[in-house]
Amino acid sequence: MIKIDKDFYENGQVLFIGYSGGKNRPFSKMVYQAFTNNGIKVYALNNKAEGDYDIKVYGSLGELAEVPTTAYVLLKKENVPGILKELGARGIKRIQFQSSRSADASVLEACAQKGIETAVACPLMKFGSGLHRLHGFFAGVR
Amino acid sequence: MNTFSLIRTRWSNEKVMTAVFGVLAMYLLPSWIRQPESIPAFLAVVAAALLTDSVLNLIRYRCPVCGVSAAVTAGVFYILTPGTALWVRIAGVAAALLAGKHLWGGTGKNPINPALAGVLAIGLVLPMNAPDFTPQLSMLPALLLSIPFIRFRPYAAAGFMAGMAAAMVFRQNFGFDSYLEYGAIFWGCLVLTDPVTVSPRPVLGAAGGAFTGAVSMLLSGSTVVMAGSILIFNVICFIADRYLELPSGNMRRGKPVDGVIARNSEVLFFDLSQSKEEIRQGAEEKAAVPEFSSQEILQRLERNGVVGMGGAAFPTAEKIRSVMRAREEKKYFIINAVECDPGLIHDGWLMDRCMEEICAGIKLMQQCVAFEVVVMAVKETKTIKACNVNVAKVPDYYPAGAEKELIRLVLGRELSVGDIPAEKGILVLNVQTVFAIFEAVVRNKRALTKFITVADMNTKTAYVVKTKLGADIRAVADKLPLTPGNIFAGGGAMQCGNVYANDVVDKHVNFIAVSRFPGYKESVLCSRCGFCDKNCPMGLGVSRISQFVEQGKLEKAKKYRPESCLQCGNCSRVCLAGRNLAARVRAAKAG
Repeated sequence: MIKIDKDFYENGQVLFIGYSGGKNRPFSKMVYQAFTNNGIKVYALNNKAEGDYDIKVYGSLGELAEVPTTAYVLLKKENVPGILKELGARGIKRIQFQSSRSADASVLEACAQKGIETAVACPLMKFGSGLHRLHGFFAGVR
Repeated sequence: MNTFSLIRTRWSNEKVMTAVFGVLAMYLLPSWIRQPESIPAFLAVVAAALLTDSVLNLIRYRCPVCGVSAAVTAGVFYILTPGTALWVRIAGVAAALLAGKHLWGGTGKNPINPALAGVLAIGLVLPMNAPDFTPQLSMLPALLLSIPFIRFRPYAAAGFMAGMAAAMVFRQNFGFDSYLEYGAIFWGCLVLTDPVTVSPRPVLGAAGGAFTGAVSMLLSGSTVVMAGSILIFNVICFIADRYLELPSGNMRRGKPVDGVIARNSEVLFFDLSQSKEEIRQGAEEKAAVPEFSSQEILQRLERNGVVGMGGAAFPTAEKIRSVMRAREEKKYFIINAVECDPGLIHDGWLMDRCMEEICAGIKLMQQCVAFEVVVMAVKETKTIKACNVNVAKVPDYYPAGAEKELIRLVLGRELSVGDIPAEKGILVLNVQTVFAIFEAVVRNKRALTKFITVADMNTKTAYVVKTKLGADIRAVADKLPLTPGNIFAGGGAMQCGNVYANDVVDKHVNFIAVSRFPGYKESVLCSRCGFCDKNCPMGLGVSRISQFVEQGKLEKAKKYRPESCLQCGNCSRVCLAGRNLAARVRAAKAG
């Protein structure tokens, strides 16, 4: 069972790493809206700075005046190790990975070694509606 | 700041297609009651369509996409192929989706109706019964429920029915039964209103629909003929929409947008500007207006930093100078008190409380420029206190308060895209700007504060707030009794953006709102409904512009004159695919 409560998102903020302005934009937007409609402020990040029509997308952590302590990662797992070091250095304490495609055992192990708490679950299981919540129920997201 | 409309239609392509599928099911209901054993066959055809569509969409988009349009294709296909073997239907609907839709690029890109293409293909190689259009009362609910879909392509649907009616006259076959018999209403409302394959052009739609209807009726009983004639019409529409002349781009009358505030809610005022003066409630004293020369007025306006408060923030003194320089014989002054954005209430509030000062500001402008006509424009639904100026009531729609639209409504003059009203001798000032003119000239007060509307869209309440320019937007929201939620700010409810850390109330901000994030899901499936084009007050080809912007073809987008866009946000509000189209048009405008 994965427990994700509001405390996981300290100060009601989350850093959304891998916000897509490309073909995954609809999904990224859905997650963004689910977070924000539940009172969680989202800082969207994409190092390609693809941007979006509605949402400000930061190109790097350096652009943020204040880095949240929780991150949500929507990247392919081969791209994750490259950012873990920087996230740890910028004070990230908790990371939520979208799915096992974003984090395998080695990634979770690397997070544990850096003292970063992890969860692997789609945010929509917690903050979405309808079928997403049902999916979350069967996936054990509480 | 990227802006978008906070007000969105509750409809989406998926909901519309689900409704169409429901109507098709209603149509089949009588036959299911008579022959329940036909239900599994129908479900098998629908399942085959959904499976085919899902697999092909997964290959194309690499993510799951709603396949309800495939279910509709299956429904139409099933009804039009009675008495055909189940395996033929299953193979036929799969082939129809592949050849009639996905080979052309998927949903919204196919030039022909896939179900009818499948029907035609089967009808040409296999003997096929005519569909059951036997008149029966149990069919009426489906027929009635199909009527609202006329909204999508009214000209083609009306033409189709007129063509059928003409054919009936020709055949001397009258009576309501014959309408039912030939399914005129049903097919006119469902297939001839498919926005993907039928043109929205009035003449082409009506003529093509009439041709299709007449042919179908004159050669009644032949599904192949009906399918063939509709497919020919589809191809003509495809060619016409791709190659014929673009929309004219003339200003059209907009449509009312429901307000975001409950009508009976009490409006509270908060002064967060820390100014010592109080807003007078029902001022009785006449605001004294000393005599000033034109130069004195303009100098005071410049010194006190007065700019347009409607959102454009153009320096007012500069605008007045343009009017003074204009070579036009007659000069006009329109006070814009329309407040057409559905989220704004502060201009109306200001007029209720400070009309004396506003009237004094108008007098100052008359001292500055010898206007032939001075008119205060208000919504037809608004009553205002008597003031010594003419009042023009304008229809209550959005965006009636857009500068050129207001000029058209009040003076009956059409200005083209490149025309600047001030250079034509027409001064249009927002009512709050006129108030600021009074304060700057008579009270010699710097324009460092402004009135804005702060709305809680979760509870449908709103407040009028006087705030300092430069105030932190989040701090302003924190001082008011608002429910927790996302904070948006912009020119109005139709032009808002996300508020980020350090965003401040500047001269462009008229509206702050707490709201749920509007449902912009940015679907990949555009159904070409054309609502964006229909609702554009400038008559722009919004769908084409956004299509080219997404393809990165800004040069092609420029041909559709995005520079005429008012950024009213109407296109984003009505988009059934949940796309922020106004932002795409803005990208074309800037590109």
